[in-house]
Amino acid sequence: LDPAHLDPTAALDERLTRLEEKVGKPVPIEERLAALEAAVSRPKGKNAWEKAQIILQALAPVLAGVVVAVAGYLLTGRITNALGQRQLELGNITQMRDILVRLETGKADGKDLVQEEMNANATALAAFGSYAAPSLIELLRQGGDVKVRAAETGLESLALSDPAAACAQLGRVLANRTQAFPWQAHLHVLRLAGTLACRDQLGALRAYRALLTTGDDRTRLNAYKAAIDPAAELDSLEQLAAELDRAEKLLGKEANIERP
Amino acid sequence: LSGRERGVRLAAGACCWLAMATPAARAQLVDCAAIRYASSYKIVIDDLFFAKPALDADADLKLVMDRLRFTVNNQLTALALQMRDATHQSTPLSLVSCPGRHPLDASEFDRDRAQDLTDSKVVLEVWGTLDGSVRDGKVDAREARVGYAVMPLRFYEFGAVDLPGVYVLRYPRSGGAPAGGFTGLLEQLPELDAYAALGVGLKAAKAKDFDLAVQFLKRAEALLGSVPKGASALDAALQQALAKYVQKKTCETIEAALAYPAYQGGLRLVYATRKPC
Repeated sequence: LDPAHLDPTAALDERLTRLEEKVGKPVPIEERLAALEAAVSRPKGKNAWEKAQIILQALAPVLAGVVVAVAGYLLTGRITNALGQRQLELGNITQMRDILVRLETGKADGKDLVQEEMNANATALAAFGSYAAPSLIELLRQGGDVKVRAAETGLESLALSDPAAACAQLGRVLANRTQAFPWQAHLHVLRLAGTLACRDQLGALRAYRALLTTGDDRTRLNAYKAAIDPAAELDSLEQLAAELDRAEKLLGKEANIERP
Repeated sequence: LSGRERGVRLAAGACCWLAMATPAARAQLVDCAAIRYASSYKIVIDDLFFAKPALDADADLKLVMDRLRFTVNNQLTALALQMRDATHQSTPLSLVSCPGRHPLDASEFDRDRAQDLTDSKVVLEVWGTLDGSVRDGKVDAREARVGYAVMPLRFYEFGAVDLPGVYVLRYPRSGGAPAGGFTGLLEQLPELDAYAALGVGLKAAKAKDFDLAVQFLKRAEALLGSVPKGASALDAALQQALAKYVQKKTCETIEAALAYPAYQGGLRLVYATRKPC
């Protein structure tokens, strides 16, 4: 069929019809708009990240407030605690001072304190916990039969409430090698280390044994005098060794401690 | 009597003796600043005090108290001088006064305290009590009690029943007034020198200061021989036990010196050809 021989109008209709058949009928514009509008109005699916972003954006002001509140609380708590601790220390010093004066002088209101009264003061001092430990050790360092016994009572009392503090102080004395404490104070500390079961001081005891037993009489006495106390005698070393034996026995670690 | 029976009797007797010989006063074991760790030997002189408040007005007792104080200081000063000559040191023995301190009896010197004091080089602690009966304002049956704690003996022989190391002696010993009257009874205290010498000797022996130890142990041995016998059988038994102990200790110290390689002192010469015991 030659298109040139056809009615041009009819031919155009036919051609249009054929073209329409080939390409399909065009969707009316109203339908296409309606479809788009429906697509826009339909809820769109989101991934987890998008959801999180949305939630975080929504909660951001609340979270910021919470973080500020927690940080403020923590900082305020720490500052308050630090201030409180400082105030407690100052308060302790003031209250401890009176007891310390009594223990140092052995007197109260001008009257001599007997052993029981000295012990009571030392026990009262020990009630201040770890703050009392250095003062009680200082009393041991000074010597005197009444004062030393009171100091021992105080340290025993302290060990009931704060064994770590009491034992740590004893360990410091035993570890000292600068002649800061007389040998008699070391003797008392060894006794207390055993009585108070200061197991964490076994290392210090081991080192102490080496000091007492290395070499002949003269060598070890000279070594001990140089490290601990120039006034020590051979009898001192014997007493210290006996007290060390007792301490180790009480600690139940005698077998594990190396002996030279 | 077997040794054990004798020991038990001595222990029981010693308890009663010490209880009777001490006042029913409150113990006054107070801190004494002079008792500190030091390198010189010390004799501690405690308070002299009246057993009852009413006695402090009695002229005789006051005089005795002054005399006792004088005698103790005098004798001990002389001993300190002798020791200085013996050791060629400036102050090997010092007298330490502890006002307000007044032990009650031997029980106050438990092992720990005896050790503390021995380690502070206290060789002797002395205290005194003056007592008497007060009736209608008059004082009679006056007596003085002097306590001696030989600290090294107390510590090193702790628990030995016949060697308590703490002795509380009554004066006048016989219970009656001495020839010079009551006030003259404390002009000389031979036991004071003996106990002090014993304390020095024992402490020096432990420190392996053999020359000083033997010198003072021998001195103690001689002085104990000159002490009048105790008023009771128990006094005498304790005195005898102490004398034997000192003798034994002297021998042991000499033997220890001779066996000690580092010792090169005079005892080696003295005992080069003869046995010490």
